[in-house]
Amino acid sequence: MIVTGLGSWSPLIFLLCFATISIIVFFIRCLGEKECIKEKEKTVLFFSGNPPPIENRATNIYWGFFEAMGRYYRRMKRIHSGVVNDYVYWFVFVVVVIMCVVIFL
Amino acid sequence: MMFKVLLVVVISLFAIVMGLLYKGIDRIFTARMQSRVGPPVIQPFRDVRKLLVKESIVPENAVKWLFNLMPVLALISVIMILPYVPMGMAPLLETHGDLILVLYLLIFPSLALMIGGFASSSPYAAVGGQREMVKMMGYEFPLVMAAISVAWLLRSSGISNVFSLAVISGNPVWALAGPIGCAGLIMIFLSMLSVIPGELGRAPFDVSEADSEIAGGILLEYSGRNLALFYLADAVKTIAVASVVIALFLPYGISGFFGLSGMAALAADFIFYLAKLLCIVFIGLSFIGVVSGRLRISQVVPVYWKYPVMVSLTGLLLIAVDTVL
Repeated sequence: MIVTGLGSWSPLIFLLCFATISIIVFFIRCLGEKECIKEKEKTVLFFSGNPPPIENRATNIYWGFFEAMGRYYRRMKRIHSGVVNDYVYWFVFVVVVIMCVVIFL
Repeated sequence: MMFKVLLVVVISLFAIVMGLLYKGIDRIFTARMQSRVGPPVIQPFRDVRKLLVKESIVPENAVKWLFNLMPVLALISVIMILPYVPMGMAPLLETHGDLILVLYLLIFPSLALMIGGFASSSPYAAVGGQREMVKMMGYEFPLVMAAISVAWLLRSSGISNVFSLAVISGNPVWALAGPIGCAGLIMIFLSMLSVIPGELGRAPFDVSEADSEIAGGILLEYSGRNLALFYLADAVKTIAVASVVIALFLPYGISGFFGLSGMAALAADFIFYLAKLLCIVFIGLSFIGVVSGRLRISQVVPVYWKYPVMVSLTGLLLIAVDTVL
């Protein structure tokens, strides 16, 4: 039992609960049809009637991040000039901000 | 201990039945708001029964063990939340887990969906999985902000074990805050309501399935009993998420109002909890879903980070001011 004073967690009870619920879920799964369709034409990926790409297993897992946070990345790229002096200025600026936060709050 | 194990079984079955029932009610609410008749309330039960009798299809390029395992893990993890959450009474495992554990468990069904989608090797499912990841980045922030705000308010009121859900539901936050703090709590509650459709993948945040764009996305290649398990996980997650919202912001019982005690008090509080659940489902899912169209994927994170995060940060600031005053 892990007790922090703010909360608690008992791994053993968690595992016991996990085992109990796993049995229920596997029971529900067993209620379902066990047969799988194995015919070649039915197991082909749906790709709107076109032949599906051969290999597509999360090849670019970060696409969503770049797409959704495009503006952030573009701004960050502009800041990364490659000039060492710029990075030192940024370092000094961030240290000053952190010092101000620590001292005044 | 055996009694508690038995109660876990009862809670699991209750959550599945109630989840499907509330799913049916949500569909009726939605249909009536759109001037449709809608399906009967037991339609989700029929859907599950139909899925269970259908054969499964596992795509030829899929990572089969992951593809089959993820629906099982999604349902297990979402049911796991319920013994730790108050459901009209003290949580079954009140001293054995806290809000932080519940927040971690809430992440797992989305992760299982994502991994299952990637394992299917479908391009549409891969896009859906990436969208799910992006969406999680959006809604996790206001969700955690709500948890921290409530815990902070309890802590500043001199209460210990502030992340214990039994403590949170036993000390309603509205009674601990002054007028400014209550204004902050209202803001955090509203931002928490906006998390519900994101967590449950409903409009306007149903970008990871988006039938008209990516033909069902993550779940596109799922069928038969695997799809039935994901369907059940979604139904139970409705109950779990709504129960967390109730525990944080609406933990009041009704038995004290009527002066009830014993079993009558338990029954009254439980029925009141079901009514609160219905209200949360109506506002958080049906109403928001009907009045809004689906957002583009590029809008999801900015919308979450601009509005609910800013609103909850302002709420937290107001609570801080209230505790200082």
